[in-house]
Parts: sequence; C-alpha cells; structure tokens
Amino acid sequence: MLYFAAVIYTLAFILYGIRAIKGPTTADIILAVDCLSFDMAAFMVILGIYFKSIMLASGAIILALWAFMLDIYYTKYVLYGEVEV
Amino acid sequence: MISEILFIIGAIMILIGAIYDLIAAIGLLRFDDFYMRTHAATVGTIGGAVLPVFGAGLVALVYHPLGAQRFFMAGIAFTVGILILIIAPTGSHSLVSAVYFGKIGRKPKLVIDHLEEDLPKRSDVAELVREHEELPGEEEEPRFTFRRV
Repeated sequence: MLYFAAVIYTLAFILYGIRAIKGPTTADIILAVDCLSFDMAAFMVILGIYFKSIMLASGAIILALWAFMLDIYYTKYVLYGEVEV
Repeated sequence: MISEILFIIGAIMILIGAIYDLIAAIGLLRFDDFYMRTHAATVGTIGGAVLPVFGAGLVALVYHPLGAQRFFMAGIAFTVGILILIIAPTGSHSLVSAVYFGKIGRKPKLVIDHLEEDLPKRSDVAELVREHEELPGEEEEPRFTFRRV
C-alpha cells in the first residue's frame, strides 16, 4: 500500500517540479513550491512511519511553516516594496 | 478490533490523498491561467497534504512496531495536519491578492470583474492624496539635534 502511495507521490512531485521550473511569472513558481513543500511535509510523515523513525517526521513542522513564510514575504515585497520582520 | 479499523481507515485516507495529489499536479501543469492554477493548488494542499497526514496519524496510533514512540509520531502528524489546515488557505489568499493588486502577469479574459468596479479609480485616489498633503514649511523643527563638537 505504501509503495503505491510513494510512486504516486513521486510522480506528483515531478509534475510540480516541471511547473516550478517553467512557470511564466514568479507567482506561479511560488505557488508550485508552496504545494511542493506542503506535500513533502505530508510525505515525510508517511516516510517516518515506513522507516520507523521519528526524526524524519519532526522536520515536517518546520517545512510547512517555511512555505507559509515564503507566501507572506512575497506578498509584502510585491504590495509594499519592503520586507519587515 | 478497533486497531484494525483505525489502520484500514488511515490507509484509505493515505491512498485517497495520494490520488488527490496527482490530480492537483496534473491540473497545476495543464491549466493556462494563474487563478485556475490556484484552484488546482488548493486541491493539492487540502486534499493532498492534510488528508494523508491525518491518515498517517491514525496509522501511527495503532502501528505497534514503533513501540512507545507511536504516540509521539501521531502527535506530530496531527500537529502538522492542523497547521497546514490553518496556514495553506491563508498563504494562497495572500498570494492571489498580491497577484491581483500588484498586477503581475497578464489578466485573463473575464466576462465581468466586480472587484475592479468597486475599487476606487486612480484619479480619485490622487485627489484624496492631494487634499491631505502637508504644505511645505509647516514642519516643526526637530527638538533634539546632535551638535558637532
């Protein structure tokens, strides 16, 4: 069961990567990287169950928060011209 | 009994999430417009990330080879699921607002655009700014100055 899910996830990652490379505007790249990060966080939890390791799963929280930070910083840079922390 | 039911439910959720993810990836690649791609990406984040993470949490709760660490794994899985459930719509909404108001890329052909009708015109905004503009010469002198020794 996990093999089937892993194959489908890898195929989806490749398709997201194609969009992230050839995106016409910067927003498309940000959107594709956003989806890629969230799905990779989910995939890391599943891999943590498969390899019986909790160290893999603990990195998923930071990955999800990083994708959110990317969105917010891009919005602030486009609309206000500056990035204030 | 209850552990097998939880395992089967979690496995089915992981499989449905993987299929959602593939559909969202195809949609993100094939649509020819940023707003349509946002529609596909929302399917990919909620259906493709939140659902399998909750399924993985249910599987980890009853997966005995993990030992006593399985509760830790389930806690991480549910935390990540709730976190993505909160921050993915927020991020997508802010990104689309940045694209719309920042005028990035070309706008698609729309039949009607209600948001553009409700927004103030550029001349009105310029008039408002001119009314509230401060006249030069009325600024106060700074109270504290650094003297050069």
